[in-house]
Amino acid sequence: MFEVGGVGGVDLLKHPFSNVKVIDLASYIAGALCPGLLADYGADVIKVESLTGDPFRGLGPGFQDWNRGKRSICIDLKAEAGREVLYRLAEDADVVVENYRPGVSKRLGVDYETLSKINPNLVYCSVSAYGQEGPYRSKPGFDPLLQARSGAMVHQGGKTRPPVFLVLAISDYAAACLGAYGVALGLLARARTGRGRKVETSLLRACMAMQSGRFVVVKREKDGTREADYAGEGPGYRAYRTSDGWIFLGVRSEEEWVRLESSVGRDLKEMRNGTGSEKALSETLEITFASATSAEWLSRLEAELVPCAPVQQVTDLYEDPQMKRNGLSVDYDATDLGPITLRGAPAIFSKTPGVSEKAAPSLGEHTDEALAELGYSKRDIQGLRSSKTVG
Amino acid sequence: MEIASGILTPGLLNMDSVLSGYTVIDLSRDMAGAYTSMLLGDMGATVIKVEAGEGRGWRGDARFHHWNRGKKSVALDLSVEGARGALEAIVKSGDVVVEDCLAREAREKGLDYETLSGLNPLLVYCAIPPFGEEGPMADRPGNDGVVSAYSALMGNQNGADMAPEYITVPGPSCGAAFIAAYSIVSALYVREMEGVGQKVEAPLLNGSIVMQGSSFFRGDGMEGDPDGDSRDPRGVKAAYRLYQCSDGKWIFIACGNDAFWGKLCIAMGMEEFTANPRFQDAPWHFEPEDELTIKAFLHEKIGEETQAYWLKHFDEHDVPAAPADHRDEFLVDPQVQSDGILMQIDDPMLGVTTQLGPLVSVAGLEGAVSGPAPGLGEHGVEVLSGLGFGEEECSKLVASGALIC
Repeated sequence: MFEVGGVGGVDLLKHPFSNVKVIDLASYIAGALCPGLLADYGADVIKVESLTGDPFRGLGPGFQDWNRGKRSICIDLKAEAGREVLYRLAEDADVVVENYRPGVSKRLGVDYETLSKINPNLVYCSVSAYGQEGPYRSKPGFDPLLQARSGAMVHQGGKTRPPVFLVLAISDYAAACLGAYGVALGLLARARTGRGRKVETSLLRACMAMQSGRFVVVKREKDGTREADYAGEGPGYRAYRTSDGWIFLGVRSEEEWVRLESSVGRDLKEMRNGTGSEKALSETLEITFASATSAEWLSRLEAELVPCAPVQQVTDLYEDPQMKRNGLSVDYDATDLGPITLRGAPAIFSKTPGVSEKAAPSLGEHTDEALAELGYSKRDIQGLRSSKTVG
Repeated sequence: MEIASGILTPGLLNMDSVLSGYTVIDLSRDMAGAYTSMLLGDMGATVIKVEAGEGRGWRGDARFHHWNRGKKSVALDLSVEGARGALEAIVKSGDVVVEDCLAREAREKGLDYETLSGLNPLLVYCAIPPFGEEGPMADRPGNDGVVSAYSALMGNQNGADMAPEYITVPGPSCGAAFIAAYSIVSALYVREMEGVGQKVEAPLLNGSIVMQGSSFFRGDGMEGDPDGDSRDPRGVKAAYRLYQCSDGKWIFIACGNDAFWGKLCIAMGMEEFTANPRFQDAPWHFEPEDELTIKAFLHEKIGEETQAYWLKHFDEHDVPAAPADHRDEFLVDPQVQSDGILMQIDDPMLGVTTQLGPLVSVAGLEGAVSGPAPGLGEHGVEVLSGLGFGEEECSKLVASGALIC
């Protein structure tokens, strides 16, 4: 444990990263959401876009989720004058996040080696598809390609179905979180050692991280193909149809089974302990749950503290009070889309809370403001605009 | 520009990993908590897993051996006198606590933030409850599957009009673990800057919603998922879905922008589509009949050749495509092999295992996995001795059953 060194004279950070400035060179999902998560914790994130903008701007609500709370500046990085602007931004920044295909950042002159010469304190985070090295490094990478390659689609399909495309984008969001974790580690390392450094993750690693339990290989044992149980993993842990919908039963321990038995009013012990009776047990519970409504079953199960939940849709969550309490259902005013409800900061801090105030910026909304902060005069900015260096 | 340097550990230059010197006390029992402290341990933190007798339960399950690798195990029976004192000594010496029970249970056991921060005000305390520490669902028991159902993950897979589908990837737990690890390090950063500890809360519900991202929103005239109430499990968009090849194997084509759509058209001899103004919003928006036409065209054409043929062909045309294969093919994939993400750990209970290595890299302060999962109570005496408990004191705790070895 570390001793307190003396706190005098330090202003309390309002948010975890109130003192952190981020240059966001990324686009699409994982690369954009990584700095988005830093903005959620109070960082000043400047999204640097080309004059035509992030190609995923057209995706409306999704774009909002990945880019909330940022500022947008348009710079043509292919022009030398544009690069100069970026270098001035880098001098003043703490973090850079990029998700170019490996090699592109070097071609644009915004790679770690170049930028760390300008500002050695930079924490530089790369979120690539397959990693910076290796045979696939130049391949384009989108979430479902990793889902497909890693076995997730075949596993979801199971024995009797073709591969299934998971709506849950298992690589993108995990890569964004792991990238943000990497940046936080980089900032902590900088606070401890006094220098910046490069941090890295990839969609490849993220998609494996989401399936980490399936990547533990014991004695070269083969990963059996999943049985055709699309409702869950055995009779205690699966979805059941009720008379008017679906509920999920989440029973795993002996203690929970006993409580389940008391709420359904049946002794299932014999069936549970008999060999090969999983199917019979499932069928018994199917008949039981089909006999009453979801609301009735949930109230009986909840009374006995049996883990369970209604199987809900996104629309069921809009007015959910727990979602609101957790900061997961927040109203924003989006310039391009009008009022919109999205999640807020991912976690709840007792002293330095996250921020959930601003929607995503419109394209180039903060170009003038950000340039003025760097000391560019009105005339400089006009010149840069008319040469289409910024926009 | 001048950077703010840490006030707690100024000028610490001899670190091997970012979290060297930090001690994490893992009081959790389920996946998300174990995974969170694994992520911290992989980056150099010392992780002490405090277990009661129930710790025997997960042993033998390869997944939990993975999530608990490199940790030290101290097994305490908190109902026996003396165990509480040992736990408090551990808490006083630590920097981070991770727990995953209901808030009510934490209070009953005296493991809540208020109690533990009274012993150690600099603690970063991370709660990972199923639904939340407060709110109408706070007292409801839950786990990955329950939160997956509640948070629309299961319902959204096939659409509102269809039967729900159990998602084999533990989204809520992974999401919560990633958010928790990110938030804990963010809180440690604040602590370095200002010398304050605090509580952070990363419920499974938050993990699930963060992982679902753009699926959860509500706006003017936009409710629910625009992809419809019954979703094709092979994919909804013609240029972003699974197709079956002549050898029965599958490939996924993911043309995520207009440039890749153009490349797909060239690769498939569909150039007439790129010039047609009907297709100006490709690949995301087609007229429904055009979507069907393109889907049928690709379905037929891809069905004429093998998976290997198409992978090579698409590679040559820079079309984003990948095989939908089994995990075992992925384990020997040349990119996975060259990435170094797989490592071997000799586990005393399971034998030699292959597992994922550290998931992020921080240059110069690389993570290092320090070993296999511990046996129950394996490090009890070692940890307590390190905290100043004498030999006699330890023996007494063992004899009374307070400390399980």
